[in-house]
Amino acid sequence: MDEELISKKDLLELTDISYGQLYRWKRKNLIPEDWFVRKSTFTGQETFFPRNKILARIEKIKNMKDDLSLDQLADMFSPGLVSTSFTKEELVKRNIVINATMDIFAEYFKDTGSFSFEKILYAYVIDQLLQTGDISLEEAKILLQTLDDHYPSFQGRNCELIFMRKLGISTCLLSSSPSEVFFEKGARIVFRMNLANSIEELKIKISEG
Amino acid sequence: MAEPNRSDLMIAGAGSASGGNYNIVKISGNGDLRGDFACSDLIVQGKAQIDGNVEASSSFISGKAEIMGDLRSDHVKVQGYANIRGDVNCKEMRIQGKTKIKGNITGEEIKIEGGTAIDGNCSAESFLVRGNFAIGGLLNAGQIDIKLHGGSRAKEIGGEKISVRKPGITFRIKKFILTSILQINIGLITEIIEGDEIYLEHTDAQIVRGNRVTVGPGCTIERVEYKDHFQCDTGAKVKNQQKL
Repeated sequence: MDEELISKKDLLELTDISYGQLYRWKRKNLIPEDWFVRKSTFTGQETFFPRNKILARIEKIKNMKDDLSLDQLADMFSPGLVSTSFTKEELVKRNIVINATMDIFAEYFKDTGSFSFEKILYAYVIDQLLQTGDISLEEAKILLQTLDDHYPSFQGRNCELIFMRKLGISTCLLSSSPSEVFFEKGARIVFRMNLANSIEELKIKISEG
Repeated sequence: MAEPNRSDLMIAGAGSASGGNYNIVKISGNGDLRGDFACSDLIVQGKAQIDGNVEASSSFISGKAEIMGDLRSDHVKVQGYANIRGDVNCKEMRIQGKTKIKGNITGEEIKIEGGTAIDGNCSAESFLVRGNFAIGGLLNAGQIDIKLHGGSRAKEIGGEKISVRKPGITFRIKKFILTSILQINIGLITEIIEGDEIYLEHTDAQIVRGNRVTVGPGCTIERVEYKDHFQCDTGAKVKNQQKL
């Protein structure tokens, strides 16, 4: 994965934050450890960041730090799950999932009571994919099954959802992230999705109410 | 963490015990503990070998303790010798004896008055030293206040307020004797220092970057990059300086 990198010095200049702030955010786990990329340059070792990710993250921190404490922000960005639960109606009302997704979802999880954050996450992921047209309703069920069976075994660690098709047959897998996966030539990767991003988006959606 | 049905574990002679939940774990003899421990208080006055992870609300080590796993404890005090093979996670840690940590240490307030070696990273809100330390990774703290009593090392240092000072006149004599005759450096050696406000004495660094940088006596620094203010003592060597 070749991503465009930005040096620490350029980053501070561009975003107008100080070294102290950057280190504080790192301490509070607002910026994940694996974004700090060390490379040797002519002035010795320098730290680089994945450009798009870090700029988006800092923008978010700057926007939200007036309303939320750093610890609350850290919870939001961490791939850990929060303990919230919503009922079916609330999820639709809050625009987290659309009705069509909710039907598959309610059918899979037979009970119609309230759903835990984990379950809401599955619904949210599938909902997004259905809306972009990447997967069909049938495929959504396979995805839901995979997530429900295997996502808990990651125990809060970051993971990636990969969905592919070959000759009209589709399948999906969950892999820990960051990791490298190689595919055969005939396979078409429909999407690779980092679940940490979805968790982050979902947490923001929930907190906005 | 105090639960009424937890029992105490006391080893006064030589003894061994297996892990579990306890109220107070006190070892004043020679204890061999196997497994993971969760307790309210860990007190080691003799010698303890713990073959697992420890979770305690407070731990006090005045003898010798070796922990093969992680130590999670709100308050940690070491007056003897502690060797921790895993990570340390605490709120407040006070080291007056000798401590070795193989993993990372995370805490709010870390105070070092003895000698400490940390192989991993160290992160805290405040990091106070009146002794010497060696950190294999990054030292990241909001406030770093170091009074040098001997040779110290850290690979990288980052934070908001960073201050490195020598404690008194005896240090100059000690430094002069040790560095010029025995060729042992007793200042602070590091590769990079980055912070908002930086004050340094007797520091050997490759790059120092900050908003306000003051370089005091006895420093050897390859390159200083500063934003607002830079001041250099006559007794310091700074090869390169650049205002950003």
